[in-house]
Amino acid sequence: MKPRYGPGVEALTIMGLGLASIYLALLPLSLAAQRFPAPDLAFCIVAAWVIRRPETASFWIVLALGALGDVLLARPVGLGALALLLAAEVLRARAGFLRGVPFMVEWVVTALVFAAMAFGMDAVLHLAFLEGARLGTLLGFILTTALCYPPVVAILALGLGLRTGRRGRDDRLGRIP
Amino acid sequence: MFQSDNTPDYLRGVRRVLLAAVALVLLAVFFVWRIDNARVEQVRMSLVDRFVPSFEWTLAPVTAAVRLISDFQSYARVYEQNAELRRELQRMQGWREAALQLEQKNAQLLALNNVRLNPRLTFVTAEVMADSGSPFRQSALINVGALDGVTDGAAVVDGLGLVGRIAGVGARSARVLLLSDASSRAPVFVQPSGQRALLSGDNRAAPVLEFLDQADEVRPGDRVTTSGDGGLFPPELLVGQVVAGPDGRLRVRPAADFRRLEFVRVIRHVEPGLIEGPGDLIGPLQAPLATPLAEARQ
Repeated sequence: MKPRYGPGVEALTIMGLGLASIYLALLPLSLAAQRFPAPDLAFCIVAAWVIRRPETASFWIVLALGALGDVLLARPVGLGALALLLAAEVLRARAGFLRGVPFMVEWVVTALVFAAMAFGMDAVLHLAFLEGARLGTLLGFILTTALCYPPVVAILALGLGLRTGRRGRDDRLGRIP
Repeated sequence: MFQSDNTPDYLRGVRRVLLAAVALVLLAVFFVWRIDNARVEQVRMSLVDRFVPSFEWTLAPVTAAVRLISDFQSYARVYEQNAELRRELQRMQGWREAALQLEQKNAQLLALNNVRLNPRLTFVTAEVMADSGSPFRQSALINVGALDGVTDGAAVVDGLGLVGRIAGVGARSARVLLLSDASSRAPVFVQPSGQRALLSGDNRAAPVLEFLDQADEVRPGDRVTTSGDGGLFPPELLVGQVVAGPDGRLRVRPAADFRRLEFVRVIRHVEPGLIEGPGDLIGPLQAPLATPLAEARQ
């Protein structure tokens, strides 16, 4: 599938969506500590986009989103951006494979990548003698983010026509899988 | 930056080198943050100070709209809530009577003593602008900053109890480290047993009471206030009530309502001057007594 509106517009769209996810995280809806922490929407959007359109979710856009998130969302500076970037590159390298498999497989792989990213960040924090997160909060974060992935994909697919071309339709390269 | 199934090999190599370089730079930034935390946090605060107030006007209405929707859902339970409120009202009326009597008594005693209560405590009221945005950090951004006389470490209260303290000040915004944050520590005083303890947050709604001298004298329901130890907080600000956590540890349920924090007060606390030695009128400073003190202060 070719980009419907051209690569520039798509790059702007994912930038806008990423900014919106940071904005949503900043809303002071409830300042109490939550049992189920808010999901990492920026990861969901970047992951879904990188799998479906690896060209328009460029390296630099992911880097910019990660860095901005680090600064605005009180995360360890540099570490969040690095984790998001590595996760996006891992998914990008497998984008061709992930576009071909059923959605359930894509979902599980994305959730595993996110879990690796969260635990990796925690491990680096421990290595730097910083206090990491409690296991419960970390698992809750992974769970809510994994649960958030299908709705994000559905919204991107229905709202913006971002599809993988499964079920016999031609894929991005014009092949019939 | 292209990477698709038909990317030439040399481009993939370039891409890999680029990724490694950027990863190294980010890792270096992380270590700079780790080593010189204060300076990087200052840079972060000045960036936040630049960005967030510029869209502050959108944050408030969107938050209000989302809260409206969630309030609408709670209309479903309006009947139960009504009954509950009636019961509570009845209990409160009893308390109101007790409070009035106590107030009269207090006024009499104050008049007898001619007490001036902490005249140096002034405050500035702020609106909560934004959340920390991360599930691992419990903090809030407020819309007052250095221009309004907010300083690092100032205590923050809502209408009822302690919320946290200021950690990071920009020109027009400041960050409040909430009591529930994992790096928050507050020296407190438990009444009526009169014990001092440390209230340390652990990312849950109710922070833990630590370093209690005699934990068996503290009961759930005891009142917890700040102790003023170390000059961190002004003394005798209400913090909350002791509760027994499910894990058997003593925790404190904050009196401040963290779920609905809209306006907070930043307390401008001026340290009472320390008395460091005998005044000059009494006699000359004795050298062996005065020097260790002066050295310790520097």
